[in-house]
This record gives sequence, C-alpha cells and structure tokens, in this order.
Amino acid sequence: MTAIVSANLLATGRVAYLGREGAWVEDIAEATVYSDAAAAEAELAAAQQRGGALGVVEPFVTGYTRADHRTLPEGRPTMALRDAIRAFGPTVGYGRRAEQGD
Amino acid sequence: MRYFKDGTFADDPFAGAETLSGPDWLERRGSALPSPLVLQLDPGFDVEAIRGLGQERFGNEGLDGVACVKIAFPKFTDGRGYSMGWLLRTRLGYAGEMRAVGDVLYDEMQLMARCGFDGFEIVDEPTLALLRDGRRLETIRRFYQPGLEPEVPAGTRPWARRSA
Amino acid sequence: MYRYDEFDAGFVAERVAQFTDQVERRLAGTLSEDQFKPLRLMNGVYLQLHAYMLRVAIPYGTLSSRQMRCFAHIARTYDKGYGHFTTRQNLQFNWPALKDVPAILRELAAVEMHCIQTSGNCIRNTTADQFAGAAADEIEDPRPYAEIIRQWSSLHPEFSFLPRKFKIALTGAPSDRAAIQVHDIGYQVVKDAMGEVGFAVYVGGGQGRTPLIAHRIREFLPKADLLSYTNSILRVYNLEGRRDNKFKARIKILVHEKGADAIREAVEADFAANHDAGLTLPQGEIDRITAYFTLPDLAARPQVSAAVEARRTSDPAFARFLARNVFPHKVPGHGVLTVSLKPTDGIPGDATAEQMDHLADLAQRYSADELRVSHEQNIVLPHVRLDDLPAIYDSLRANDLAADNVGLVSDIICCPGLDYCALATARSIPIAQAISKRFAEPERTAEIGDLRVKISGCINACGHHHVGHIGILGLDKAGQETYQLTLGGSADERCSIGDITGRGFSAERIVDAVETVVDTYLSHRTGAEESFIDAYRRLGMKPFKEALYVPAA
Repeated sequence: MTAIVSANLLATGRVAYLGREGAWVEDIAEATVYSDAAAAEAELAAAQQRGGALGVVEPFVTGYTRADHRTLPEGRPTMALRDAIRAFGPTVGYGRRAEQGD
Repeated sequence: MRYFKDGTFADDPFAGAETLSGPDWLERRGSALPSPLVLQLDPGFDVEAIRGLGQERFGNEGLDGVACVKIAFPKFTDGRGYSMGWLLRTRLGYAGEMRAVGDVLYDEMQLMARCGFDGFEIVDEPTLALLRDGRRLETIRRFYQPGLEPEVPAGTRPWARRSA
Repeated sequence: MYRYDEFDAGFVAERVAQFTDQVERRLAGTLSEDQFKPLRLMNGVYLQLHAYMLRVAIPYGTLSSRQMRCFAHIARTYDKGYGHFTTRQNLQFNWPALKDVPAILRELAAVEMHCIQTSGNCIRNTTADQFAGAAADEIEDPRPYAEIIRQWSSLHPEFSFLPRKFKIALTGAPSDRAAIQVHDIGYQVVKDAMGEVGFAVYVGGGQGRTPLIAHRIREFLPKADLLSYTNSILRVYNLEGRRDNKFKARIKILVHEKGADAIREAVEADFAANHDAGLTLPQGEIDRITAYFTLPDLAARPQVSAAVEARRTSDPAFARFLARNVFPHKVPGHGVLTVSLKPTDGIPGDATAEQMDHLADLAQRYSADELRVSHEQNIVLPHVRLDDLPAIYDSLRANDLAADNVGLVSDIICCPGLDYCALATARSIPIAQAISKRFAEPERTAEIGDLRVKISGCINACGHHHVGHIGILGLDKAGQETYQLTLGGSADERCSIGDITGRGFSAERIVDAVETVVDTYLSHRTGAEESFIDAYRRLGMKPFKEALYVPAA
C-alpha cells in the first residue's frame, strides 16, 4: 500500500504532511504519496537527518492511497478513520451552532 | 558533564572519589569505608531504612561521615528523588552536600533546590547554555508550600512562602 | 467566591512567565519535544489529532460571570467559537496554537484563572460537589478545603513528577455528587460523635483500564490535618507507586496490590513522623479562607412561588424543567438550577461563545454573579430565586439551553472521543447524539426516569463509562468502531462498577442495544418508583443479556 508521512506543526498543532521538496503542507491533497511504508520511512528519516522535521511534532508514516481521498469526506473511507479525521476534521459539528448549520 | 553549585559552575570537590551505591554502603558499613565518603542512591532505595539500620546495627551514626549524597534521576520524569531528598534533609537531618545527578534539566532544578538539593551534575547542553548565560534557578519566587531553600513566610497562610 | 490576593496574582504571573519562556525555548528548538511534553502537560497543553488542546482549571467548579465571559472571549479570539466542559470541572479549547498559549494564559490570569496542573503526572485540579455551599443537604461547604488543597498542590516541589496523574475530589454532603470514590483521594465532610466536623478519607479509587472503588482508610481526619495527611498519602505514592508500567502506575494499583491496610499503615506512619512546618491548618486561617465562600446575602422568601405555580400548571415543558433541573436550596424560596448542556443531537459539554456569554448574563442578573460546572458536564446557576425561574427558563429557551433532562437518559456524560482525542479508539460524540435523538421525546424520557448514560471513546474512561448506569466504551476492533456495553455502574455514594453485557455492538447497533436495555428495564420494574439502577441491582444481568443477545432465528 502506498503511504504518506504526517505530523503536527509545532507552532500551531495543525495537521501536516510531507510534500514536495521536503516542505510540510496542511492539505492532504498536496502530500507526497510514497510507493510503500518503507519508502515513506526513508523520506522521513532523511528529513529528520537534514533538520527538516524540527518544525513538526510526532511525525509518523501511515498507509494512504489517492483513491481514498476521492471517497472522502462522504462514505466510509478505506483509510484508517483516525487518519481521515486528522485529514478532514471532526465528523461532528464545531460546537452546537455549527451543528445547526448557522 | 559540568558541576553546578551555589549558582555557579565549580570544580567538583569529590572528583575522582570512590562512590558507593546505597546497597554497597549498607553492606560495607562497619568495615573500612572510603574517605571522603560519597554515596549514590538510585530511585527505589529506601531512605528511611537508613535511620532504622543506623540505630539497630551501627548506633546512631546514620549519615554521619557521609560527605556527599548523590541522588540519581535516571529520567527527569522519575520523581522519587524529590521525596528521597526531602526525607534525607528533614527526617534524617542530613546536612552535607546533596547532589542531583542524571537527567538534570533547567526546568526542574528549582524544584530540586526546594527539596534540599544543593549540587547538580549537568549534561544537557541547553541547560548548560542557560546557566552559562546567567539564568538563575529562581523562576518562581512565591510558593504555596514550605520548601528547604532559604524561604520566609508570606502573609498569614502558614503554607505560603516567599524566597528569602 | 475565592479572590486572588496580591500573593496569588503574583504567583500566577510568575507561572505564566515561566511557561511563556518554556514555549519560547521549545519554538526556538532548545527544548526537545521529549523535554517539553511533560512541561506543557503540567500547564494543560495537549497535542490532539488536529491541534493543541488547552485545558483550563475551574477550581472546584466555581466561576464568576466575568470568568465565563473570558472563556467566551478566548473561544472567539483564539479558537473556533466554542469550548468543551469536561468531567473534571475544566474547560477545554480544541484549536489554540501553541504560540498563542502565552497570550491566552495572560487573559486568563487577568480574571484569576490558570491552567496549572490540568494535566501531567501531578496533582490535578481539585474538584467538588457542584452544589457546594448552596445544597440543602450539605454538612459543610467543602470548597474552602478544596481551595487550600489547590494552593498547596500548586507547583509542589516534591510531587510534580509522580508515577501518574493524581486527582482529589471533595464532597460536603452525604449525597456524593462529586464521584469521590473513583478518585485517587476522596474527602467526604463528616461529623464525629462529638459533633466536630472533619473528613472521611477514601484512597485508591479510579476508572481507566482497571476500575477500582476507593477504600476508606480513615474514618475521621481533623480539618487541621488535611494538608499533612494529603502530603503523607502523596509521599507514600511518590516513593512506592509503580513506574514500570504506565497502566499500573495509579495509586489505585498500589492500594490494590499492597492492600488498603498496608497503605493505611504506611500513610499513618509518615503522618505520625511528619513534622513539616506550615502544613497544620490554624483555625483562623481556615476561617479566613472560608469567609470567601460565604453564602450570598439571600433573603428568605416564600417556599412556594406563585409565579412558578401558575406557569407550572399551564406549561408542561416548564413543569418538566422544574422537576428535573431545579434542586432545593439552603435558603427558602431559592433553588439551585442546572442548565443542561445536553440538548437533543448536541455535543455533551460543548457551549458556544454566545451561550457562555448568555450564561454569564444570567448569573449576573439572577444568581449572585456565580456559576458552577458539574462533573456531568452541565452548568449550574447556584442561587436563583424561585420567582425568577419563569424568566430564566424563557431566556434559556431562546438560547438553546433549556433541555429539561438533568439526570435522565439523554443527560449523557461523553468524552471528546476520536473526533478530537489522540488517545481515543472510537468516536463517542456521534453515539451520544444518536442516543439523544432516539430518546428525544420528553414524556418518554421522564417516564424512564433517573438513568445515567456515560460514554468513553477509549479504555482511559474519561467518559466515566464504568460508573454509568449504562456505560458505553468505544473500541477499535480490526479497524471497525465497536462499542462495549456495561450495566449497573454508579458514581454516587453507592458507588459500583458496571458489568459488561457481552460482545460489543457496531456503531449502527449500539443505540438499539441501549433502547433494548431501557425497554427491558421498563417491562421488569416494579413501578415508576423503582429506578433503573435499583431494578438492575434486584434483577442482575440475566434479563438484559437475554434481551440483548437473542439467538439468530
């Protein structure tokens, strides 16, 4: 299964992904998708080696395919629910007013 | 590693001295002990047993003759050393040097000092840098509980203190 | 209410400056995440799934309208316009940036609030009965003692790196509304044979992976010894609590493994030897702190309010609200009003900034400027005149705050679950919402009567599922959310841990399962006067299990 590298940004805590040229991007659509988990691990290790992970917290590798992305947020994702919630936000409204849609 | 005492880096007066672990010390008491006597107590060592053993087996000497007690913090999150230090100072009346060794970090040093530690062996480079820059340990000057550094009562609450 | 004096304000300012420096060093990279994490937790900063979360202490659940307005302001300025009231009398902001936390702390300090020790392996926010000081059934207000413990435990040099977190709760009434028997230490105000007021001491309760009910290790502790004795319990725990396994590190495991008698002996021995100056409480100082908590000057009024009675007979919804949300007050003609944060399809414990402001307005106008937060994640207006209830009710209705379900099946305790929490194994909020929709019919909920449903999204049990009459635990079974059901738990003075019904249910099936349990209760109860928990204690698991696990036809 193809894989991505994710983490949270140190300064804001927002979810981020390792993207092109080692930049951390907040939109999963811009995440670089690696051929498998081992390749993603290697990229993460390389990023850490060159100091490219200093601005993020708790980086990790997780399985992901672009196809998953198209199924979201509607329908049950094939990616882990946890990863989907990280990528697309809580499945419940932000506070009660948001829940009511106003 | 650098040795920090009384607000400054200093030469370790016990550099090179043989250091006995708590169990070794208990074992070897009554026979010839190194001089100066330096102990290193690991978390889990029963400090209060020193008092009992001292009275039963060795008379009342307790920690007499001990020049320096090092208390180990293998990880800074292992907080047993704080209670061990507190008991050594308060219940066993130990007045010699009490040194924190191991994972000693700037942000915990004031807590250690308030539990009676008066010497530190520091490895962490950012901690060394802060102290070299003249950072003092006394980040907090008002306390809600009595500590063992020089402190004076603050207001009417008997548990409130200010640094002296 | 307690008010900071110059010392308290200075202390909090020093702590804010200290944490600000720690944040700056972390952002500059001179503190590693491993070094910073325990420090940020000790100031209530978690890293959740989407963002940092900041947990603010509401000591013993008491706050002023000014403090509530500050929450609303922070929610608008630094967050997404809402906050979450937790089961431990804290408020959580779900979206703050780490770089903004120092500014938020300064805003909080300006209204005498802080985030000190709302997380971390230290002594947490001391909680108390949300009706303290107002309830007709209490022996004495426990909050002065909670305040004394709050002060003493703040940045304690000896107890800042305990084996695990440490939670203390107090109750001043025989009815335990603070769940003290599932806390690390529970203090219950009692009177001895001579009429002297002191504390019964409970130690070693807790939920999580291994739910255990606390042991009473002392029948009577004189008030003067409160801090000395607490200090001794903490010292025994700090030295002897397990540090080899995070899941066995709470004091409940130490008490369980060594036995309550051994722990009592160790604590009493330390207490007897403890001559630490400053920890014995002089009566004068207890009196001085107690004076902050004096009941507001409420003139006694007629026990029956004509305005309330007129509205009650004409408005069934108001009658339900009155029956469920109002508790007897010490002063005749007054009531303790619980505002439910559990509307149908709502997120339990969440309030928007507008609702916070509105509650602050109501407190200012009708409740001596005071609010409380309950461990059931509701808000309390502790001192309202019965005559004002119709106006308050109308005002609450206009702000989606008039749910008349306190203590009923839809008054659900619920943790944030996988929608927010990095530790969660399943979502809990959608389950709470689905249950509240299934039981949205007020006549039916009233007919079911007292029923506490509690939902946790993982084994850490922040949603108190072990002590729910009906408890739900969300788990991850091979990538699927699965919900385990427990029955018969209780958090009050007759504390009990629930029994697991059997295999878990899918997200789609769990609400049906809850309804099956409720229907089974209704068909087996001796009458409306036999509550769910009483019926369960009489009937046991069997009829519920039979109804839940019908063999496939």
